[in-house]
Amino acid sequence: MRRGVATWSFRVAGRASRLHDVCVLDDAADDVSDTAPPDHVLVRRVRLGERSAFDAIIERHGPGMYRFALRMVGGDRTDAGEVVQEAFISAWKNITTFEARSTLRTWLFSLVSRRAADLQRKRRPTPVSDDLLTVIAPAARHDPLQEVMDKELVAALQAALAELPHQQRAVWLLREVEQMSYDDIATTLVMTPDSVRGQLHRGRKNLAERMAQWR
Amino acid sequence: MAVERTTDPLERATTALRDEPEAGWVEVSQSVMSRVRTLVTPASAVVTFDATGSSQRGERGSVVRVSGRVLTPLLRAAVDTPDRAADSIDIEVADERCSSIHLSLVCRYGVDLNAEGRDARAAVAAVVREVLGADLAFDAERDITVEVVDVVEGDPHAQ
Repeated sequence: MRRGVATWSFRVAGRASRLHDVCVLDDAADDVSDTAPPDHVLVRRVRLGERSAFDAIIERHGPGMYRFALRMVGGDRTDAGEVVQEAFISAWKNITTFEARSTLRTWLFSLVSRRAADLQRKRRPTPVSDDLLTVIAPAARHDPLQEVMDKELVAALQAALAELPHQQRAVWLLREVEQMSYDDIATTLVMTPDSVRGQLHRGRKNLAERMAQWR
Repeated sequence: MAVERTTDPLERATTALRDEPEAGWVEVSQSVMSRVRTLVTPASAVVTFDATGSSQRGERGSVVRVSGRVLTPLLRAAVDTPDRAADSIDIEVADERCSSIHLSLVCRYGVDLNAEGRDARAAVAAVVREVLGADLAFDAERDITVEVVDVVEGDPHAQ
């Protein structure tokens, strides 16, 4: 902190210069957008004490986070609600330290993934590796020829997802349902993009095997 | 829920999952918002001063403190105008005193940045005086720094 000098400064496009009396502006930022405030503006407002901005973040990202949580915890709505709530509480407490190295969306989804893993560790054991997964026989609760109904198909997928290791399930859901890029998934789950591709390949293969009976 | 009939059951189920409405989200969202509203963000408390510059009031020398949670929104409200928006407000606290305030601004393209900087500093100083009182050690000219971190076309509050 400089002492004894009244200063102010301006910084554009990453270049900072501290001025005392004169400032000439020769640059301008992006075009105006008439849409809702972007995420970084909402984050800024939350940091400046505007709670309603956090409500807007919940409304914007909550549905996707809840859908992701629901599938990560085996379809239990109470558990999914708890996971999302804990994720948002964590986001609220840590938003001042969120440094935008990732997007707000990937950060929020990473919180959901971690909370879902925590919850599952507490509640029930899950396979931790593909080797373990291979010994679990695909469940065939219904006769697929007689019960090809949409809800059951989704239920079958949910059951198949529940058998996947946590990370494989998360990668598959983020890619196939949330349609995130490989890079964003890697950021969300703290993996490399190559690992994401590997997990996705295995997840697709495992799910395809388990869903094959519905052909 | 209508699942498109493709030959691949995984693809059909995936499409259904993607298109599925978030059943139960409305209830969850209300619960989440209510819960978050009960949370208190950690913030430093800042001692206030009376007109003579003393932080101790009354015979017992009671001390009144104001949380940074209270000060920050007040500063933001004072600084924000249609032509500028606070980007960040950092309040430095040393020995429970507000030792400095660093204000980052986003300004509308074309405005006089010198004038905006001076005006914003004055707005911050006025809030500090009003809320924290007469802290003789706090020099607004020295201890309030203003930095314009971006200039934007259009509404600086929306970008």
